[in-house]
Amino acid sequence: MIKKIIRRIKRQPLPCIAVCLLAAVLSVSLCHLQHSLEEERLSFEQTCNSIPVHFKITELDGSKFEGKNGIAKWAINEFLLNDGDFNKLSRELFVRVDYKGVIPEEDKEAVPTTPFSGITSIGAAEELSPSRGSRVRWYEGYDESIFATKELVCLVPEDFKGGDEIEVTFTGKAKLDFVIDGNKTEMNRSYAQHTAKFTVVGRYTDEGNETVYCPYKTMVSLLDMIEIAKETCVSYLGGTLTNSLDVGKLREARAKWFAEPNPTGEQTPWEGEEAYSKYYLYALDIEDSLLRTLESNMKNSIFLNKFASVIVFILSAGAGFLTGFLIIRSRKREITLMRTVGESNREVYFNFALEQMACAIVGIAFGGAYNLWDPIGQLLIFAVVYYVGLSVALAIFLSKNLLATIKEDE
Amino acid sequence: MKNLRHLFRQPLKTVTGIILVTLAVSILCVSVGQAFAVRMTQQKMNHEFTTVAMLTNTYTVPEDVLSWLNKTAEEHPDVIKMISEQGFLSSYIPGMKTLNYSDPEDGVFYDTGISGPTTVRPWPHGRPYCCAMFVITIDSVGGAVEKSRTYTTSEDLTPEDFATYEEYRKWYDENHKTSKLTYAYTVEIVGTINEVISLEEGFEDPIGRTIKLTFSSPTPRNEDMTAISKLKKGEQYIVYGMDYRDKDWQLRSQLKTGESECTVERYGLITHVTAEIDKFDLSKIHIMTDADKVEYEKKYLASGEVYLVNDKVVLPYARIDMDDGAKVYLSQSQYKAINTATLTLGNPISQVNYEFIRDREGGPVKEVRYITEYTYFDGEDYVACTADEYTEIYKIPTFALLEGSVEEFLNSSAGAEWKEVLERDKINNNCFLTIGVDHLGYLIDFVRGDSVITSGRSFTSAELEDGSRVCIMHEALAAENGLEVGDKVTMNFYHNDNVIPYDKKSSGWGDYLTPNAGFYYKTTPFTETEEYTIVGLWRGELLWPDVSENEYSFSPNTIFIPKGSSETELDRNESILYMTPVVHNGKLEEFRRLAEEDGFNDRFHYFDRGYSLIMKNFFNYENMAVQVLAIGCTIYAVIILMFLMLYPGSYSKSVRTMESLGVSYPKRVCFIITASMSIITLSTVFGSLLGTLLWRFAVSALKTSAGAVTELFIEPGTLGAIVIAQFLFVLLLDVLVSLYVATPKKMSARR
Repeated sequence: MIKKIIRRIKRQPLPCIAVCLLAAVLSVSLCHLQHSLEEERLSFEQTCNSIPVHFKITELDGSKFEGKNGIAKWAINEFLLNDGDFNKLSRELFVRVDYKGVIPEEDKEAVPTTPFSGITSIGAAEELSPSRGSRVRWYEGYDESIFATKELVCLVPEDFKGGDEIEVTFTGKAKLDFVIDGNKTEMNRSYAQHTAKFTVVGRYTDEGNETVYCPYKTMVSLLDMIEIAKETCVSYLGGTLTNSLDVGKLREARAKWFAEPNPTGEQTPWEGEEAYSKYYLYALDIEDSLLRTLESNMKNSIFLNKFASVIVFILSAGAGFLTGFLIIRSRKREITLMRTVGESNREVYFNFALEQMACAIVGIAFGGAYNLWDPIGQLLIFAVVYYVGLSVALAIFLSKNLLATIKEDE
Repeated sequence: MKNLRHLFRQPLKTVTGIILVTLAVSILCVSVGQAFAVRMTQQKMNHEFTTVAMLTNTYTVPEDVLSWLNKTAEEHPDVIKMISEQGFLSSYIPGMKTLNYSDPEDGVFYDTGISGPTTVRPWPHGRPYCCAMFVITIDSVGGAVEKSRTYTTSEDLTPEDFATYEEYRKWYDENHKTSKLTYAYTVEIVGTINEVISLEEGFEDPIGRTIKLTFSSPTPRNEDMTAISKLKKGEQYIVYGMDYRDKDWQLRSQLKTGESECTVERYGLITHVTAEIDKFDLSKIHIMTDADKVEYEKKYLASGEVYLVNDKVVLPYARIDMDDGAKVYLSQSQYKAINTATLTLGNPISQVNYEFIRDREGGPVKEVRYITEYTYFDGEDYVACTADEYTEIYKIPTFALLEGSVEEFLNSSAGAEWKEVLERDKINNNCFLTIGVDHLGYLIDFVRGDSVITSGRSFTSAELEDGSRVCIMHEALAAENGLEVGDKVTMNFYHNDNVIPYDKKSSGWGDYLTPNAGFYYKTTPFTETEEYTIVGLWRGELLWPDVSENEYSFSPNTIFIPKGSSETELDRNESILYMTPVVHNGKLEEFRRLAEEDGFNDRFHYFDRGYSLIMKNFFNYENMAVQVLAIGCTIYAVIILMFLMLYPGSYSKSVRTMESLGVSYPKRVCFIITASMSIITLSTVFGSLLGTLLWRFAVSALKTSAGAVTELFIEPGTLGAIVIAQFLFVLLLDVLVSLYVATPKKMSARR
């Protein structure tokens, strides 16, 4: 059988080579198309992932969180605890805790209160960002990573006069003790206090800003010592997604705990967590407008590319069908001759079908090797469609009356 | 025609050929379509991503920086895309309310006079114009009080400049010289408000309030001062001013928020707390007697609250007995604010304008120069004028005797000016700052993400280029006015008059930062009226940003439009808000290098909205699309080659027959070309149509599901060019094949 096929091919090498080439080229093209689509998809994901998606707690109308009464403990836990919904999605979390400390002046006369902020990184203190015109000058051996530690270090304004070692006293809220003595009521106040020595490790320039920045964990410990709940002092809570394409999951997590910012700042009913409050207490703003723009444009384009690929495949398959049809038509004389010398329709059909399919399969085999025959489905479909094409042509010719065919040919 | 007959002899073959080439052309069109889509996406990305430089530590654009930018833009156009210069106008939108920093519905009305903790930020241009027109009865008229200031005409040294304090004192007594400058004369008129003709929404009803009117003049004797001296107690006057303050309401707000301190006695204990008072009941307010003060002092010291001035307890002036038994203690100034309001009677030149001439900053005053030259705005330009002319142009009504009813007065010739003021006040409450932009992404606040588009979209490149009448407004402003994306607003533009004495300015920053709509006045008539469609809503980090924290911020009463959409020339000033150096995407490092070479790197901070992060991956994405195009073209070429083999190539037998019958070579070639090109021509038309239809179907489907813009359609011109190019290509190949097939060959035995 194989020898017969080879013999037949040797008789008409040109059409067979053409079929082989056609099949090979189309196979290479289809494989490359599939490969390109896959790479396009990866490229799209990588491009989208390059855009960081930040999120942060805001007021209900989307404006910057004022933090007058801090943030509820459950919200902080969702960010900071390992199994928190937002912790699981984030590669970096920004938390800020503010409190006032007292730093005595050198001459001990003026005792001003200085705003202190404990931050997890500079991302939690937007005013320090270079985009605000601020500049940070770190002392040798120190950098932003100090905010991830629990050390007694701090970053101060450039014109800070306290030197590089500063002693700070934090005072907690007043505790009132009432002493009833007969008809008199006396009220005594007492305060929890703690003094800490900070080492200055850097200075920043930001006009009008007098805040001293220390690590978040350090500030939390100090607040513990003066019996202040850290939740009441948290003024910023935010993060950056690990995978920007997880925005959908972030939105789901948001729906569970926070409202979406709305322009009127209206309270939104909080179904599901009514134990905390009937209405969402805070909003969470997801800064993904750039990602959405990029994503929608690229997705549109990828959709059209996929569509184009499908069309190209369908059209190519159609072309394969027609090519098979036409090739058989071009060998009409040969088919007529074979029928004249007594070969049955079945034999003629099988001879031609095997010959053409052998060429096509060889072409597909060589062409498909480019991408390791992936997608095998599309390659097989192409082969099948080609086979159907030539089968239809053969069926038409073989169904015709032999004499009529001979007359046509003459 | 004869040559075409044989096509009809083999109709099946002909139709098959047409379908084959149609498929090939369709493949080509669709492949080009997807490459075109990627190209459009790339252009859109280039439009969305902007790379800009932000000037740091300045509110105006320094001359040296501007010169350097212009020079560098000229020398390196491949690095600097443009120096974007935004401009602004003011626009009156009938029926559209402005947002007010003060929220009258919540009962909180902030005022520039408050200087409290950070819970209250002074934002004078967020509050409405506090214009008020009342009918009052005069209670008393004060005399003219001289307003003066002293200035140093000698060196102004401090004790730190001397070795000992005694030496400083000696120098001070011998050398320190000051002079007095009288710059104004004020008269205070106290009255009672009888009727409200016009007052901003949200203020409490002031009828019955005591109003303190202040009139200022540069001289003690001019027409108005003379008229004021003739005011009589008991007479009724109509008055107008632009800075109405409800001191009673202000006091209650401050007591509620704790910005104004008071002490509250409850259960025998005195503490500093806030006090919520809905309305002062005068019957429950008592002036503290000496005995009251002694008892207070005892209680106060026993409470442990430390609030001493010169080691003495600060004693209150008045006490309010609350319904719940608590007692609220107020100072004298707080007491005086109860049931009072204030209003300044306007005067374009209310004081002598002067400037001190010194040798150096902080040095002694060498000369006092009086400003006598003024300018007024004539609608297009600033024109020099005298003080009298300036007064005449910008004067507003202040007070007038009311002898009949208000309606009679307003309809009289004397009241015409007052009526005009009322109309103008209505307009000014519906005016918005309108900024014309080259691109929203050139505004620093947007490019660094502090301001974002929250619904709708930003301006497209087509809208910016064509100057389409579209706008983007603050989401809270839109919500306040029941507007959404897609709605239309009618804008009446007018210029800002920078010399008008009645404008809202942000404290300390003038017109440069957090600007506001200009004051609509007779010097600033409307220049054009156009309808704009809202295409997007924006939101800033704060509804009312703190300019000390964000100098690039805008108030929510700001509307953005494409620069070319208004025919009126935009106003500009040296503010950093309106000038942005724009760098070509991907050229940030080069710009940085150029800035560093010339010593300007420290003056800028840079933003590229993440372009540098996506650049590499995005280029890969584009490469893939080019490969897909190449594949489409390859498949097209292969199919065409198959066609050429099966059609022109299959005529060899017929051509041999023609040759043997003596048909000439050109005729034989013509025969083959005519036959095959008929098929190709028909197929090209069908294929183009099919390809275009398929592409449009895909884009429409995308638009329905994802709201894609129609920019992804292939332009007819581009498609036409592609179709013609491929037709010519196939024609060329066909001719070559035909020439080959028609070429006489050696006779050989028929197979």
